[in-house]
Amino acid sequence: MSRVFAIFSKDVKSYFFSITAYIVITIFLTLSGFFFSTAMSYFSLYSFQASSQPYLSTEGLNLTDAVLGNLFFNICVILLLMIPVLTMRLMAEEQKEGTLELLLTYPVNEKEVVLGKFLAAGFVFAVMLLPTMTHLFLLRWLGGTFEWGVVASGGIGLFLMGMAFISFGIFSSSLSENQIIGAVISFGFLLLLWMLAWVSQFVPPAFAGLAGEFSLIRHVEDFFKGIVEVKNIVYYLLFTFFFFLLTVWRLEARKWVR
Amino acid sequence: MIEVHDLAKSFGKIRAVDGLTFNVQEGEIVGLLGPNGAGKTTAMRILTGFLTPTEGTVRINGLDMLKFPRKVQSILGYLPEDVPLYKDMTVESFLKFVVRMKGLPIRKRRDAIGEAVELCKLEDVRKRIIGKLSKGYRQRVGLAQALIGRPKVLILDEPTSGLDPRQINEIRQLIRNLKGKQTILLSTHILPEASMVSDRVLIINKGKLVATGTPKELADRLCSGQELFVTVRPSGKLLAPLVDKVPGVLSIQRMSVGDDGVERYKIISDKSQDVRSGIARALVAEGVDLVELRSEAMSLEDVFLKLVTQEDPFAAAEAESSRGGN
Repeated sequence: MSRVFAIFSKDVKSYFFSITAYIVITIFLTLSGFFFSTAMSYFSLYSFQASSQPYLSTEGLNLTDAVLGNLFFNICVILLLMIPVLTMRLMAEEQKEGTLELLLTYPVNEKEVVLGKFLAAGFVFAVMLLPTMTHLFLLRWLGGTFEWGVVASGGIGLFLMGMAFISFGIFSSSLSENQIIGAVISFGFLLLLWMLAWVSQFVPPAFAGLAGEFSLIRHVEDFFKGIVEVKNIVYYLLFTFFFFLLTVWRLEARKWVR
Repeated sequence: MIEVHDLAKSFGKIRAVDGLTFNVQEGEIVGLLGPNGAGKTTAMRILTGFLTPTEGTVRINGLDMLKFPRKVQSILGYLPEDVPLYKDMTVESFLKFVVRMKGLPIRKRRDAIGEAVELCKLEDVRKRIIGKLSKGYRQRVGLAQALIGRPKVLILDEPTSGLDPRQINEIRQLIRNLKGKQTILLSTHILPEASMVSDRVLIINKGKLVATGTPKELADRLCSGQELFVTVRPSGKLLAPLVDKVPGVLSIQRMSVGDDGVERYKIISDKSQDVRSGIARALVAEGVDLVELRSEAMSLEDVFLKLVTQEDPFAAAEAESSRGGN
């Protein structure tokens, strides 16, 4: 475990030593701030209209659904773009620089290496996500009210989904020594899985359910409504675990190349 | 300490290592010598557990590498070829990372780092970023990470490549100073290095062991005769009949005529006899003006070239006997 921690702290330091972490976090926060303020503007506009036109339906016109629910979805989209950038160098750079040889000839096994890197990316992801809490404090400060339960479950959903993204990102980074390839593959694959939810209406009914079940976005929707379902948690955990193992296998298989 | 038996590794149709068998005793410094592409790096990668062999076994300190990779790796120090390092770390934070990765007990870590820094003379650059260091310093950082915590076995892949002559000397000195304390296997394609640093040399070519022995043994066993270079001022006399009378001389051959008119000859003699004084006496007695008399033992370089450029029956027999014997 101390070796996992050694790799974790090496990679976290390396994120913050290079400008990667700062750039990714800054852009993420800028975009999420932009989406937050846009959602707020729309919300106040509709609220104003609703108050002057009493026959308009006010269903769903509350801060929790209209602002935060929107923000959660928008953050998902930003993560889809940002996490591949965060994970692309983790394995690719070790291979390109040859340091993988150094790393894997220390008395450490592949699982520990991948776990250390996974946790490092997870840590940066958490650091990136936490400042979005300021949106909530801002809402409170402005006198808004919202449901904390929905916020908590939404946060859990975002975190689980982010970890799933990271797990796949590390796997695609391990495929080659080229960081760009790592990023493109992870972005492409995640986007594809994301869009499965949309095609579920067009495929034969037998597959519709299946397509939905595999979709990355379908499982996070419930979290954003404040519903924490075991099925959804299991989906993300399995997804994360599956690609974690695949990365470990990929590293082990490299030894047997012939 | 290191027992390698019938090791083979194929990449596609290429057999990078092909039936390699050798032993390294505890405390020995052994040089793995071979031209580029001979399979040195692949062999070392297998020894350190970075690659798995297609065939054969590696035992280090009595433990099978395939069965107990972590245990074996914990007594290994390895300097890979081209010295890969984390360029964005400082020397100190990198070495701290290494002691943690090697699983050294916490109370020993400080001392281990201090010792490695001292041995490799890294005090001045402790706080510097590795990526900004010169090649020589980087090499020493690589060496420091290998020998930190005094592993029983050191495996060094071309530890002096790319350095300037002074740095090469320093590194060689450093390795010589480790003699007796650690078992060292180092690879090189530079012959003087192998003969200077190591107790024993293993010459490999095309993944096969072609010869093994101390540098002197190899030179002695593999060259049939001794070469003697004689330079004389032309005196009108034929040298061949004079020299042929000296016992032990096998042949004489005129090489060249120098700018100042001197003539050079190459004499091959039986290596068990020293013919120098005999030749000198014979020439002077006949009034030949002797300018230079120089003997040259066949160098390791010649042996090496001979071994790797042609199929030498002697070498093949040598490899065969070492395979069975060890």
